[in-house]
Amino acid sequence: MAIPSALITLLIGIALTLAGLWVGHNVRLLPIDASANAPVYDALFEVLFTIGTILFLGIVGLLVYSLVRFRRRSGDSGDGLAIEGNLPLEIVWTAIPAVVVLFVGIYSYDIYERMGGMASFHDHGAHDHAAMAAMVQEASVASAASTDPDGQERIWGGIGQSASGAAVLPVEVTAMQFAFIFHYPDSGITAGELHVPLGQSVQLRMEAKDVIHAFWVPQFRLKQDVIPGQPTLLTFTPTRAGTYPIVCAELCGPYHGGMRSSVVVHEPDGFDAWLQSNRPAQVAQAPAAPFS
Amino acid sequence: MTVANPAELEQGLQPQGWLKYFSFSLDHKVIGIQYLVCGFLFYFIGGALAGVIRTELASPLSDFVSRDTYNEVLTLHGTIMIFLWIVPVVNGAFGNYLIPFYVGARDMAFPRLNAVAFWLIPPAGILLISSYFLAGAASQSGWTAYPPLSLTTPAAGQIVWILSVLLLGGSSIFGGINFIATVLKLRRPGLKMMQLPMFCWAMLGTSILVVLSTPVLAGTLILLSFDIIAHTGFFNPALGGNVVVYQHLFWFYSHPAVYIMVLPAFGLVSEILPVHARKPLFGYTTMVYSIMAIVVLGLIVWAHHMFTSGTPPWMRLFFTIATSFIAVPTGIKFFNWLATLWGGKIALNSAVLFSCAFIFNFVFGGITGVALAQVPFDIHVHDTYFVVAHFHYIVYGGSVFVIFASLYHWYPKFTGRLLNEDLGRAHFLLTFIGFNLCFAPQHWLGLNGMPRRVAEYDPAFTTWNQVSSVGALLMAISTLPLVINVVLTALAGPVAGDNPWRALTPEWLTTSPPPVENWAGEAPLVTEPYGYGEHPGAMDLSGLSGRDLWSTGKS
Amino acid sequence: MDTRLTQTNPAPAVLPASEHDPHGSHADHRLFGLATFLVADGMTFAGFFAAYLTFKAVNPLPEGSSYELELLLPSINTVLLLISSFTFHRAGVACRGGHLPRSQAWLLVTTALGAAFLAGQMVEYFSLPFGLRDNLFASTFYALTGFHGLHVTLGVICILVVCWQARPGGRITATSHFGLEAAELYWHFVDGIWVVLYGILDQADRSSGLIKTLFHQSTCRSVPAMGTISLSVFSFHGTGLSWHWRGTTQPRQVRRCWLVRLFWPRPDL
Ligand code: HEM
Ligand SMILES: [Cu+2]
Ligand SMILES: [Cu+2]
Repeated sequence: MAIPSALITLLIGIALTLAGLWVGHNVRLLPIDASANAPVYDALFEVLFTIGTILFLGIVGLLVYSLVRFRRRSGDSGDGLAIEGNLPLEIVWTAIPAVVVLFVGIYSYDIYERMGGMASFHDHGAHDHAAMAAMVQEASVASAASTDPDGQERIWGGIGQSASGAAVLPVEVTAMQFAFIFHYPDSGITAGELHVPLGQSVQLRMEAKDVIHAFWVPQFRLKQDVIPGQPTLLTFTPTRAGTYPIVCAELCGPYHGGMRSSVVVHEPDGFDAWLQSNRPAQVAQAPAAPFS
Repeated sequence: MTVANPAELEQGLQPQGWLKYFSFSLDHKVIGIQYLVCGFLFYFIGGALAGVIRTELASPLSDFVSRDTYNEVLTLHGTIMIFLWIVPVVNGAFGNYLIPFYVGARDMAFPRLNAVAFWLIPPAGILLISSYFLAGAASQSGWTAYPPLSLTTPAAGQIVWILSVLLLGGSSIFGGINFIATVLKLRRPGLKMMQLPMFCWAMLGTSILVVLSTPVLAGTLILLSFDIIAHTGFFNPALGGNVVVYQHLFWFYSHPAVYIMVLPAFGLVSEILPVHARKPLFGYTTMVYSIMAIVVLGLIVWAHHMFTSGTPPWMRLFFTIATSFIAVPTGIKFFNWLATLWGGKIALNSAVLFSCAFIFNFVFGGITGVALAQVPFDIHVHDTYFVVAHFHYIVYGGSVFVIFASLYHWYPKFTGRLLNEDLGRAHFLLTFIGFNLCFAPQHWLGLNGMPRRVAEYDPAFTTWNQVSSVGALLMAISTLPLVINVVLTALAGPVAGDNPWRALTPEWLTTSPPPVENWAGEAPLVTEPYGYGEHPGAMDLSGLSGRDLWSTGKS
Repeated sequence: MDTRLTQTNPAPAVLPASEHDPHGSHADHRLFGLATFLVADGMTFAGFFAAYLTFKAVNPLPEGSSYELELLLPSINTVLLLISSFTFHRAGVACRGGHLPRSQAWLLVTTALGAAFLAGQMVEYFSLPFGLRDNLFASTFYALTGFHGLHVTLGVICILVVCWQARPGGRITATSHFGLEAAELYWHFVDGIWVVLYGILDQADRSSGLIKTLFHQSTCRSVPAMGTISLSVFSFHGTGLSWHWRGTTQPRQVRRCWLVRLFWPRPDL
């Protein structure tokens, strides 16, 4: 009994989809998530991984099947079928990828929005330059005098909500060959490691001294180039205590590979303790006075 | 199809025998072979450099070469592989050899310019490599040469790098002009554009990209060299310059460049598959349109390399969507190739195996590419080993696999001898396994925190790096069967005859190797280069699956 | 299988020369090649223009730095170049009409105009208040105009060579004049680039009051105007050259614009 080919196609399609869903859901390729936007990122990853798996298995399956099924048997020197094309088919395989790609694009836009990537960091309202000017302005380097015509300092936005207010912990980051330096303006601490409290938004204000560096914490799913002359903001909220690597991701010279540091996410009391024990000298000395 | 004694046609003007390959020959076939052999030599050099990189990365410490040397090796490897291996071979070698045949001409439109274009390459390559020894230090800023790093690394090496890239760019522009003129102007009377073999369209599209984008790179590098030599501040933030402008201009060339490397490969695969599957190329017209769509889209996606460079949100959005849409015409091509195979009588020889592995690899690389086009995804993996894996799947798994496929397919035309199939399959197997072993783990490495272009890394990544290095070793070994095969066959291989594959495209309708002016008699007019296949009426259809999906395009 | 290969009929005993000898006298596509090259060259300029416009839009002028351009001299220069395109056009017409001495005269006029342009450029360079390294815009200004000046210099040399070749008994004759037409195409290209360049160098940076206000709002207004002028100059000689593009010597049969013919592959498409 012949099974109709449409049915077979349908079954294969279902099997592929299930396989893709299973792989997307169960194969873990990413490191643990430790920031508020990491789970959002992981959701996108799962979707992409699923679609990718379905497409890849489908296409490779078709390829291998054709190679086996239609291989030339020895002694056969005939030709295959003289089929030169099929318009409905072409339309199908133009439309399906177009729809998939459109869906992926819109979905990832949504994800990006949720991660705070679409936030504009310099909507001064006063800007009604021509489109060209606006475009390049944001893409640019503010150079030595990093101020706007209207006198405000130009800041470039990386990903992350442009959070403001008391709840945000500001940290100044200086990237140089070959280290990151972290300065806490509120407490005056300067350190080679980034220490942050769990669950509180942190806003990094990053500047590069010499060449381009990139600040990357894989567990936060965050990366931002730090370009000389272009102060950049990056905001994140750590959600899991622990110590994670900070990696420089842009080739910056011979010791680029060694340009690594760590970010320590403390439980809130732990963070206060760290602040206490690292206050700069003059502050820390005050309680020490009774001994002398 | 036999031809009168080709020797009679040879002109006494140019050196004969092997010497002609060292001469300023104007014969497009000689120039094609010159490109091919020259490209392979550089491939071996670039491969040795890759060996250095993988050896260094076999351990997490920087212990094999010094850190400066590592960056020099990295830069040289990238530059050589792109500008001296893939671009010259897929464009220069196969383009020059095949295009005049395909348009029914006896040579390229500008033979002298053609020779000049080739002879720019060896000096440029030697210049580039010698900078390692002569100038004290080769360029250390990667093939992207981003300022301000490229302004602060040793100047002499960077300048030599710029010079040689300018020469190579010039060569590529001259080549592009020649291909455009040949395809558009030199077609044999009676041959219409829509009757050309697909490779002509691929080369036309590629050459348009070359002509439109390479000059921008040249201009940019000239400005960069001003910054280095004359201490101007175009790209130097310390002097009020703007580094992001460099990135825009650089990628305005370098994204199209990836299509310059892969479109000709698409064309070559379109030639190889129908011959060995004994079927017409499926969907000729849509293939042509998708090439042109890729050309247009390829010019407006460059900023997807700059998603973390502080580009404004709307720009990221635009480039995400434009980039994703490139997958559509690309997908069309892949489905058409699969449809070409479907229902054919496929000879599973080395040429086909490499072509099909190309489909496998490229689909993988294309899928990671579409993922990379999504800004939020890219932000995590940009500048990591994930990107390294992506583009090697595309450039090596795509273009290089096709170069090998083409070598097996056209070697009989080049030399008149058939390559050995057993060695060919050994070569295929080693390359395929080695390649996937080398690059597949790099996806994981990138996702989990290993940046690219590093000489040392977190020891947690050691195992997969070692697996990757073993893969690289296999790839190195895989060149042995290839070299042995090519040399042995050249000396004593079985004679191929004029048309061992029973192909219909015009290069096979002459002797192997062809005479100086390509055909002893008049150039054949091939209006159906893919006229393979039996018409369905003549066949028993019941044996074929999925037949109800297909109609014959022609009655 | 072989039936699908349409072998051409061996009937025509005498093939057109173009069929047989690729290195010799096949249809002349050099002008087409040159045009393609000029497209590439134009892209180099386009890259510079894009860089300049971006710098202007984004980067502030450092304090204490000056970037003020002249107005009168470049405007005169623009007029000179436009006239020179016209004189070159006359030279081409004269040559094709067989009046070589007249053609030579027009070529010399063109050379003089080109040289005057270069001289003017030099004067401007020496009178400007800023140098190559003073600031970003200064650097870009010199890079742009310098690169263009290089093109003009090359053009002037080419014209002189062509002029020499048009002497009695020289290479260039009424029927064979590739060199002249190539130089002409190139010269028009260089002129066109200058017009765009002149429009792009921000008019607001030019010093004179009246025209400054005229152009002040944006460069967007001046560019189309200049573009129109240059296009009309281009189309001047269009008819004259049109029959040459395809390498045939049949004059003006097809009434298609030369631009279209240049990039439209073949009529049988
Ligand atoms: C389906 C089509 C493709 C898409 C959507 C795509 C997308 C991308 C994206 C978004 C990146 C930037 C990743 C990053 O740096 O963060 C990238 C990098 C790259 N792609 Fe693709 N790509 C595609 C096809 C190709 C092709 C055909 C080639 C070459 C033949 C190629 C070669 C490269 C190279 C060389 C890089 C890295 C450049 C570098 O940073 O040094 N890609 N691709
Ligand atoms: Cu760094
Ligand atoms: Cu790209």
